[in-house]
Formats: sequence, C-alpha cells, structure tokens
Amino acid sequence: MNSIAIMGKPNTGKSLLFNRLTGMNQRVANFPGVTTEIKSGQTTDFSLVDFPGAYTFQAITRDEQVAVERFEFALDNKKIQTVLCVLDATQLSASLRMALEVRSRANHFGVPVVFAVNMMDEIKSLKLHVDIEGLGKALDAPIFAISARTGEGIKDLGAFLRSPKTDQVPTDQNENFDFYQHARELALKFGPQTDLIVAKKNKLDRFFLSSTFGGLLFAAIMLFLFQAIFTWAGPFMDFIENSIAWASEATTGGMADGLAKDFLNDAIFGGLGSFLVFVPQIFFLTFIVGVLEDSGYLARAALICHRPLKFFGMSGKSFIPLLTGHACAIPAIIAARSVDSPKKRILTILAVPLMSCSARLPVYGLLISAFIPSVTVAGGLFGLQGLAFFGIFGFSIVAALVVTSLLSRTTYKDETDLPFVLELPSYRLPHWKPLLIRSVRSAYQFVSKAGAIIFTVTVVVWALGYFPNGSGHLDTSFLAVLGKAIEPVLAPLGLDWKYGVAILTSFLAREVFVGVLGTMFGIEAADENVDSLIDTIHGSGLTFASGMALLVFYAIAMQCVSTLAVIKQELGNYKAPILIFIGYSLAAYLCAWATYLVFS
Amino acid sequence: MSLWDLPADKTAEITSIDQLEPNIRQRMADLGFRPGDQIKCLRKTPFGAPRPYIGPQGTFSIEKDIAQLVTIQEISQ
Repeated sequence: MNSIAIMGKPNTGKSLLFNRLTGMNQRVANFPGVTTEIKSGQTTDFSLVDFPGAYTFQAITRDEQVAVERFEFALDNKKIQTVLCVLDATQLSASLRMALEVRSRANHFGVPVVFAVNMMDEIKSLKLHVDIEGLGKALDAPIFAISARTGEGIKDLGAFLRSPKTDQVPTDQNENFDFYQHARELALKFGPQTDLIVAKKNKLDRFFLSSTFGGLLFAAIMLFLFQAIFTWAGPFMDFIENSIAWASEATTGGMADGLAKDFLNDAIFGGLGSFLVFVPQIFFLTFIVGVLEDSGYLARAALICHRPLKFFGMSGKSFIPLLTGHACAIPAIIAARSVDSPKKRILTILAVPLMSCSARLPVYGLLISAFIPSVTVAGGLFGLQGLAFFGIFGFSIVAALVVTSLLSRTTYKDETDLPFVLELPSYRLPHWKPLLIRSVRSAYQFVSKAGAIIFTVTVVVWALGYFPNGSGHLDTSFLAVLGKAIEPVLAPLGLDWKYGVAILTSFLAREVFVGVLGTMFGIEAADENVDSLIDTIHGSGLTFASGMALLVFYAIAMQCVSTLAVIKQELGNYKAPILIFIGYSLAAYLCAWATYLVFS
Repeated sequence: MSLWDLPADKTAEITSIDQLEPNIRQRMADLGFRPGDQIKCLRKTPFGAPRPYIGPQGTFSIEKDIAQLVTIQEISQ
C-alpha cells in the first residue's frame, strides 16, 4: 500500500486534513505546534503519516528535531512513496519557505511531492486570490486548492493520492540555494498580500492584547472557564446521579438480601457510580479549552503570560502545557516539547503534575460540594462553589510557580536557555465537529481508562471491607486492620482510617478516592437507602479543617503512575520521576497539615 | 534604534541581527527578520509582554530580550 507523509510549516491545518482524508479524529487546534507526535492513519487505498510542523530543516526545538529526523529517516528507508506538503494560502511566503525545502529533501531521495494549498475558504471570504495553476507550474508539481475545514477540494486530492504520479523530475538544489528568497518571490507573484490578511483577521487583538483590557480579559476568560465547568455541568451531573440511583433500585430492588445485593449496591453503584457523576465536568473542560485553542486566543494568552511565567522560570509557551495539564498531565508533558528552551521545558514538565487535572475534579467536586455552601455572591454574579474551584486551581498554580521559581534559580540555574518567539495565528471560528468529538472522546477515555483501575480497586477494597463479618461491620473488617495501622500518620490532619485507606489507594490513580469512600460508607451503612456520599461525609464527622486539608493534599500529591512513566520517557531518566514522587508527596502532607492547623 | 523601540503601527527596515546568538539569528532569519526586511510593530502589549510584529513571513510575538538586539531604521511614512 502507498504510504504518504504529510509535511509543512506549523499551523497550516495538516492534522485537520489528515482527519479529513482518513476519517480519524486526531487533535487539531489553531496554535503552532499542536502535533508533537508522529501519527499514522489508513484509508482503503493508502496510509498517511502526519509529521509535526517545522519552520525549516535547521531544527532548534525538540519537536522540530523529532519531525525532521524521522522524516529524513522515512525518506531514506523508502518508507514513504509520496510527500503531501501542506501550505497555508493566507501565509503563502512562510509556507513556501518550508515547502521548497521539503521538495528539495524529498526529491533528493527520489520521492515525488504533491502540494495542497489549504485555507482557500478564508482567501475567498476575504475576496483575495491565489494563482494555484501558476504556482503549480512554478513548483513543477501537482497542486490542489483545498479547505480542510469546509471539505472543498478534498475529493480531488483524495482521488489523486490513490494513484499519485511518480514521474517527477528530481530538482535537487545545491547547498547555497536561498529557499527564503525564492519563497518570497513565488508568494509575491502568485499569492495575496500578507499584511492585508493580517489587518483583516487580527482586528480582535485591539481588545485581547490591549494594554488596558488585555490582562483583565485574560483573567475574566479564565474565571469564566472554571465557572462554566461547575454551572454548565450541573444539570448533567444531576441527571447521571438520578440515573444511577434509579438503576441501583431497578437492579437490586427485587433481590434478596445477601452477598450479591451488597456487592452491587456498595461496590458497583456506590463505588463506580459515584465517580461517573463527574464525567460532564471533564467534557466541558475539554470543550472550553478547545474553543480557546481553536479560536487563536491561546497564542495571545501565551503572550500575555510570558513575562510572569518567565519570572517563575518558564515561558509563555509553557502556558499551553500548563493549561492542557488541567485536563490530563500526560498529553501536557508531551506538549512541553514545543517549549524550545531546554531549561524552560524541564521546568514546565515539573510544573505540569501540579496542575488540577481532570482526575482531581471528582475529589475537588466532592469536597467542595460537602464543605462550601451552594450560594451566590457579588449580587448573584458568582457561585461560591465555582469560586472555591477557582481558588483551589489557583492554589495549585501558585504551588507550581513556587517550585519552578526555586528550581530555576538553583538546580537548573545553568541549563541551556532560549528566548521567546511565537507565531500568532489569525483568529478563526472553531472547528465544531472535531471539537465536540474530542470532548466526548476525552470523557470516554477518562471513563474507560480510569474505569478499569477504579473498578479493580473498588472491588478489592469492597472485599477487604466486607469480609470477614459482612455488611454493617466495616470496623472489624480486614480493611479496618490495614487502615488503623496507618491512622497515626493521618491523625494530625484530623482524618480517620477510612480516609487513610482512600488516600492510600489513590496513589495508584487519584480518582479512585471517591469510589473507595463510596464503597466503604456503603458497607458501613448496611441499609438500602444509603445517603448521598456528601451527606455521609458530613455524618462521618469530618470537620471543615480536615476537608480543606484533604483538598490541599490532593492538589499537590503526585498520585498518578502514568504521569511518572511519561516524565521518565520525556526526560530519559528515573531520577526525575522518583524525586518528583517523593518531593510532591511530602510537600502535600506538610501543606495539608498547615491547612488543618489554620482552619481548626 | 532597536526593534523594541519601534512605536506601535510604525514600520521599519531591519539593518542588523548580528548581535543575536547564532542559532537565534538563524531562526529569526528563517522567520523573516533579515537585514533589508520590513517589519511593522502591531501594538504595545500589557505587562511588558512580547510584542506582535508583522514581517514578510507572518505575525510573530517577540520578547524584549531579542527585540532589543535587532537593529532597525524607522521608515517615515
């Protein structure tokens, strides 16, 4: 089967085109450097390999190095039969700079190149013109005018790729060939004026980058993000909670008392069910971050954040990994490859695990609902619970900044550093369909990945808590023996052994906390009408001070095996993940203790 | 004068990028910041943030540390 590589400068819409051609749903966004891994997909007639974008073959960032090395390796080893080079019609000169170099490299290895000029819908809406035919002749290669967003021209391109012509004459340039100058000449001859497009597309910068409003708008957008997670997800969470209650009643209502009924009620509906409730929040978080990313605003946010982040040892480019880390640390740590400065990249990777990832959401949600009243403040403008969410997210960020600030001035003082240059993409409307699919998928992946762990842990915890004396005798169970052994460590935080068990099990994955608590309280209550978990927590005698201590503990503790594995992969040593695990766990305990002392 | 001194909405021609370190100089040249190229400062930004400049290869935000090392000649319009 013919194998086709997609190459081009960053943010030309390569991934969206890849999705169009393969029917897959790879992550896309309006931000340079979103694709940091090489991905491949299949159609019935050919396979496609999507490479991360690069400005030139003289790579200076890690993701560019990966892209260039792998691309040349694939060409050299005949793993690719055709190169599909994507150009952005609204930035023809810059895209051609890379495209000419791609053609030169591909031809050097005898591989033909086909060009796709993307974003033609925007050129049309701006009433501008690109001479596609003329450009194709000048490039001496097949060329297609397309819009990966609207689907225009995709059919013709797909048909061509099924049987690409292979008689292209190699046009190997000598080493001194000036790709830059040649690209400018071609763009001037065949394309529209770039500054016209910039003037029309970037009017919104008057507001978003205004010296007076820019900072305020940024703060307002971030506050809106966290309010929306709580407010919009509310009705969906109620619906899921009611559905679980209904399903529990429908399944176990007619069953005789005994082991099977206890297992279903406590382990399945009590444990697994109490975690499913938080799926809508994960969906909305992914969706809103996606809208910001697609619209082009995130690049502006990176710019606004640069100075403050630089003070703390990172860069404006760290903003994307840090924000992505609020969904999941794993893609965020990989995304840190786009931070070109090696020093700032390491510090960003160290900061990401402190971001409030979606696995922390169920824990925060439970504790905030249990201890912060559901009232509005500031004349009904803000919900107090939403503000508490904003507060704990803010606390994690401050903790991360303290860590990076200290390390950048001590341990990593002499690490290689590079300055900040970032392309500002034009503002665009989000691609709604891929965005919705991505949001649904993130919720689904969260359930399917975490679900297996939670199910296993819940069942083990249930069995340890149920035996040897059965329902209603949690205090004399195997679990109690284990829990009471670690109780002295948690006594300074005002927590009893049940919370100790929940904390201990969540070192595998933090989201099991809610499920494990649900299961244990289910066994303890020993009746069919178990109160909601929030009421049970109140009933368990957990004080406000201990609740806040728990919240702080979960904000800092390093409780995710997968994150540690990715850090090892990205930094190439075991030392960093081990030190992160020990350091963050100790810091979490000490901060939680301090919080308990403050509030009690 | 340096690129950082260029007022908003004003255009200048780059006269030198020699003060930049070699790998940064190479990257800036690739991105359209070469002697002879025309650059416009789109606007001043809040908190001394990197400023957006439009050059022949697109719009890039550049931080003070680099912009100060790019020498320019303002073009009167």
